[in-house]
Amino acid sequence: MIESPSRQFDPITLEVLNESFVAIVREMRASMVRTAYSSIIYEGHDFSCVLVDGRGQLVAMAEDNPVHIFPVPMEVGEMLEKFEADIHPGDVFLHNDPYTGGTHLNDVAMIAPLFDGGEMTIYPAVRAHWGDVGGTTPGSISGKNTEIFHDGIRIPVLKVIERGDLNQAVVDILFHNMRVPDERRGDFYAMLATCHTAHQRLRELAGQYDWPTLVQAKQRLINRSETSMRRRISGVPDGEYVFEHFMDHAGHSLDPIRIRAQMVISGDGLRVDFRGTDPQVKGAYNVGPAIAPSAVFAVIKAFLDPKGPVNHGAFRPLEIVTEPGSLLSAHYPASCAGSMEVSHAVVTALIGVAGQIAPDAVTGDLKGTSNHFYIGGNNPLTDEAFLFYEYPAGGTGGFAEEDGNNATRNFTEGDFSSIQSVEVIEHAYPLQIKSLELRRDSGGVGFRRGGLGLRRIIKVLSKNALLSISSDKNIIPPFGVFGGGPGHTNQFVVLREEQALMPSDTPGKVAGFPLEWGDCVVMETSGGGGFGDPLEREPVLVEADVREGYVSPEEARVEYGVHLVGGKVDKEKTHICRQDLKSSRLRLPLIQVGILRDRGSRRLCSMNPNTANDLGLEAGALVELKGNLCAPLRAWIEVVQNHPEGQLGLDALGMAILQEGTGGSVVIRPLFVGAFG
Amino acid sequence: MHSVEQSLSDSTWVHFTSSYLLEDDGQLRLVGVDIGGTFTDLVLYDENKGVMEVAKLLSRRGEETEVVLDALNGLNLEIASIDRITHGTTVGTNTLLEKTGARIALLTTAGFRDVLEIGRTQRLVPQSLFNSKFVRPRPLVPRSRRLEVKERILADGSVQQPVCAEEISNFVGRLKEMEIEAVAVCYLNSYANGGNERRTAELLFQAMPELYVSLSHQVVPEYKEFERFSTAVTNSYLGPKIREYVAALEDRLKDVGYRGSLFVMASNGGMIDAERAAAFPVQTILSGPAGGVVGSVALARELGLDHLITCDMGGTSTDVCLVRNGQPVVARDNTVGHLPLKTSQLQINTVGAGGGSIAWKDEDGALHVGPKSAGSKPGPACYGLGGSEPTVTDANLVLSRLSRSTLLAGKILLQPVLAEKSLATLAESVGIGSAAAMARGIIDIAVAKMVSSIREISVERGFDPREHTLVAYGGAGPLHAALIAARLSMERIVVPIFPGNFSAVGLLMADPTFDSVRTHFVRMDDACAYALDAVFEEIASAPAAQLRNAGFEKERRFRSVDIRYVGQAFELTIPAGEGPGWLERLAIDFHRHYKARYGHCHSDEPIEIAHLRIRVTGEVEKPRWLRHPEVERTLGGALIEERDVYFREQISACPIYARDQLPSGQRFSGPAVIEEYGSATLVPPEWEASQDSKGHLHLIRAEA
Repeated sequence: MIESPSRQFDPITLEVLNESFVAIVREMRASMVRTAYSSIIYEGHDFSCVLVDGRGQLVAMAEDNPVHIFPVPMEVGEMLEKFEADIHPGDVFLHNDPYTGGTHLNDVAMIAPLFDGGEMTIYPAVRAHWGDVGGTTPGSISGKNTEIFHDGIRIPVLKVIERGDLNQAVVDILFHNMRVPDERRGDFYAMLATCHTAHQRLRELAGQYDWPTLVQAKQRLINRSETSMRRRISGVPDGEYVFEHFMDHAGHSLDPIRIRAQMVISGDGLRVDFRGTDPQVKGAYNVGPAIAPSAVFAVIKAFLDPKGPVNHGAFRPLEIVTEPGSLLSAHYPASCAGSMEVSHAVVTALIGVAGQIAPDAVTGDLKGTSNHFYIGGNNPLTDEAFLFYEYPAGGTGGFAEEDGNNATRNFTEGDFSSIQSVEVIEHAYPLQIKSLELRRDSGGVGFRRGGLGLRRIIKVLSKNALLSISSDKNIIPPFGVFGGGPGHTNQFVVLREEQALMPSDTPGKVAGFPLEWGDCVVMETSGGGGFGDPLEREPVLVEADVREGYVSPEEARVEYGVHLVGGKVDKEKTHICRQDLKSSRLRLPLIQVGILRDRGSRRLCSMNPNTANDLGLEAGALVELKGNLCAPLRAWIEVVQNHPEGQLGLDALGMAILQEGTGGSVVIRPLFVGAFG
Repeated sequence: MHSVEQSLSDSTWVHFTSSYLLEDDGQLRLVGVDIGGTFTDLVLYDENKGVMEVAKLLSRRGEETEVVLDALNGLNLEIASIDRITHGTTVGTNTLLEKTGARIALLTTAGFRDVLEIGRTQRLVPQSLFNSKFVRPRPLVPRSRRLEVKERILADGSVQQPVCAEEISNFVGRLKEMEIEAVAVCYLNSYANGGNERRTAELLFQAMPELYVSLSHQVVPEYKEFERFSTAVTNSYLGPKIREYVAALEDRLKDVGYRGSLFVMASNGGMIDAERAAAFPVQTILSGPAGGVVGSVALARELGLDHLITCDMGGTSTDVCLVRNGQPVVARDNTVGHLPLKTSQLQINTVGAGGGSIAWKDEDGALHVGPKSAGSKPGPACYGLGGSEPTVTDANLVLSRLSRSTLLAGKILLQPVLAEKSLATLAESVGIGSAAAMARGIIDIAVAKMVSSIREISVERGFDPREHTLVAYGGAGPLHAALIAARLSMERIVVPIFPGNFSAVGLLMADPTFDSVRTHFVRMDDACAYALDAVFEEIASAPAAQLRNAGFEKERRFRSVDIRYVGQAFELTIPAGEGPGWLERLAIDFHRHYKARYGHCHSDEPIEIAHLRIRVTGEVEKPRWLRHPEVERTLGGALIEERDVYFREQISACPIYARDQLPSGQRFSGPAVIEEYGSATLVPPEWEASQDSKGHLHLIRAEA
């Protein structure tokens, strides 16, 4: 419901109060940085602050991590439902349970209602990543967790402070179940101080304006954001769109994980239905019901209304459906330690589906993971334990106007620094960095090229160190859009005496691979997906890419069809080469077939053995199918004896995703010509 | 219309002799010149004539030297008799923001040419979240001009691979081929051993003696390669232009008879000699705004104030800075144009709202002020130079806070009708009843932005603005100071003499200041005071020599140490004393500072030293002045007129005073407007004002 616009409200007071609300959130952030005990909070800034209203609607946020902020309304809803009338001035709540609105157990939320306006009107919530919340491994997060107990201690929404009195029993139980309890206690009190600061500032503001004015301003700001978002959705034609994204695997087999997103636009409303997504997995790659809506919001916001202010109004036009028991709304006792990877995967699925309604805004796909990377062991110089942790960024996707950015935090992530300084590492750890470079050719090819990933070679100067990684898109790369090519995958390899070793048989999921003195770990992050047909990229830009070393001369020729002579474009040869490349693309007519049974969540497409042979594809090969839509469909080749030759079989849903039918055609691009795993 | 523009562009010389009598009847003659984007301000302190004079000229891009000479020529004094010229400039900042620097190349350690481009993978641009079309700012040197050298220093300073002379001479050909004007040599771990960088420079100079070269370990002798490389590259990018600019200015000054040294205001709040500015132009990035802060600090000393917040509101933006215990806060991790700069800079926060900022409505109906500015062309609507969008200046004119007879640059009469028209149009589109209500709203929004900006440097760092005096200057500062102070519950404001030229006045107060630093890791338990004293002595030798080179014999040294808990990656800078027990006191001070800043400390945790810093300063003779005592002044005598001025929703009959006619020491209550050349001070009804014997204006909240 939009409040009747006839009611007059001074637009200047509105802007001044908007500025004031955001200033309070900024001051909360400063307070956290000043008082927290964990370095991941005061240095890594892995925390977020927000003001909400009585119903848990977001009133104001700063440039925080979206995945922290957007679950807050669900948690407040849980608090309201559980405690109803039993919420009083001086009560403070804690929560981290993924199944009821949390993220991973390390992210602990504090909600501090304020009743000064007579009822709960505007009050603060803070979520911070606690360095350890118990569980199997130090730091609590591991890609090999299989149930929530491995992730740490679970906090259902509870009153930790009741009418101003600390519930010592709750605090004792919590801190007795966490490593480094002093640090946790420090973080807890930092959050409390931050909430108190917000209370004080809200009271001061109410002293200047009075509560009814604040409440009315809040409501108008929310309504304005809603109107803005609805207007933009209305600008998109009604329709239904569906897309499937596959995560590599859950760490215990090589079967991919399917995330299916169906988007329905109807008038000024937008619904995303994730039914058809895989059931929760026996592994760490599950999330509670709050994560998918956060990821959806980040993409929709970016594609439709990037400049509008962020508050609850912008959420209201969106309806998100996840199936309970699926990995997007997992049940007890699923582990949610890999929640960030799932969150990134939902972002990818949304780029695929939302790109169809916002073709001007879409970008090539992103790195799809946090790339958690740990080397732990003993420092021979100090004889102390060390833990080296990074979460390196990759290239971002190309878009209509510009190439993607090289190794940069993407538009859905808070702006944390994701890698450490080489000189800090070499000073503090028994590690030597051999190189830190951009990966040439790693950006997806396209009219606008994907950004390049980075390559870091880390030499280990310690015996008995262990390597652990939790990463995705190590097998299935970030896709390009509108004919753009995929970026290179994230890759982690160990070089030992000139031999390249895979540190696990489940790429991207590595738990405690033993490193030897002198090993070099090669960390490579993905490139962003390309945008548009690479054969339409201005040759002079390809020339510049080759000159700058972002693209090799071979790729310029093979993918872009650009011939360079003495570093300069040879126009004639380029013209011929581009024509040849265009005509030699693998385009196959489509035929609709009966339901193709899944092989461990793989989407299958069928072809005759002879056709497969002609195309150099084996059964189980991974290909991408490019139609006229934004993103390609990824599918695995099923070889069928009696299949019509020279045609590609897809079942009804596959056809629906491509918005094609029998008689249509697609371009096939092989990703793995042989079966993987 | 055309003729007005004509008169603006050929307006050259506005000259005001002040009524200030100097305390000393000595012979000292000092000049401060502040070249800004729009105006060049000049101040002369002349004991011989017994006056202080200011002048304002329009700046001319690319002809800065000539503008300075025009200004000096207008002074009507023998240039040879000037003892010191101190210069504040925005040439460096503009070059960086407009990307008009030199064509440069980078020589860096093999395997690391992309450090500059990858950084720490951050966007480093505000409001970039949710922007899927974000484009990261590109490095100043493209990848093809980043050359990789086979050399390697390790973290402990040992040389794993020395520089090969043959390889460097091979690069010389390529540098010439690429028509490179400047080079930055940036090797890994050079903070621990700069030998390879120095050797590379020697080899380059042998082949290309004219080449401008920056060595990363000299520009920033600290660890963390991305920030150091970025700063060194920026230094080379600015180098040739600033070197040429400073040399040209020095030469021209010499031509016209100036016999003293030319000094340049540095970002750290001190002044440096021209030679150093040419070698380390990256230290002049805040040369412009630093002058006002330095002037404020001098003012604080004179008035016995400890804590200040400075607020310099100009045409397009407002700069604020916090001063605690008489010391401006200094920051070391800065960004300019989204590139990291690791140099000591006054921590000046800039917000894009000034007198010329345009008010506008976005497509969702939200009202904004700035960051777009009308500049000086076309300027605010009331200039009548073709601007039609309402600005903060238009709002003040409509509220009669600015005089309708104000002359812009002494020549253009402001036109309230045009201001009103522009405001009425906006008012109608956002549903506000009148141009006056719109005007109040625009000022409210601009003030809210400045309040936010001040909160960032005070409240958000744990300092209560109420403990501070607001020092307001810049053309538009005194007009908004009381509104800003009220929103922050601040009770005291000082509007210094010549607020419209105060940055230039501040230049006269700057002492020569040279900083040096060395990354030096040692755990406190293993540290030895004598050994550290020796390192301090070593790192002091360069800045001490620079000070002597700049012509100063007497020096003062300030030592400080960056300390952290073992395992942390960031440090606190703690002032270090000398003599027996200084190291023990330092450790205690660290825990104390840590607790003050973060609310807790861990006094039993091990701590370690990361950097040793030293600042060597000299002291210049500073101007001293009094107002002319023999002139009998009365409040009535200062009254120019009474006019209706808007305060909140009401119009009050408000006395308008001429500042230079105000009696000393007499308090009077608001409402009042105090006018002077280049600025006007608003005294709202709840405030009282008085002018002291030196000519500074004090505003005090009446209910306080």
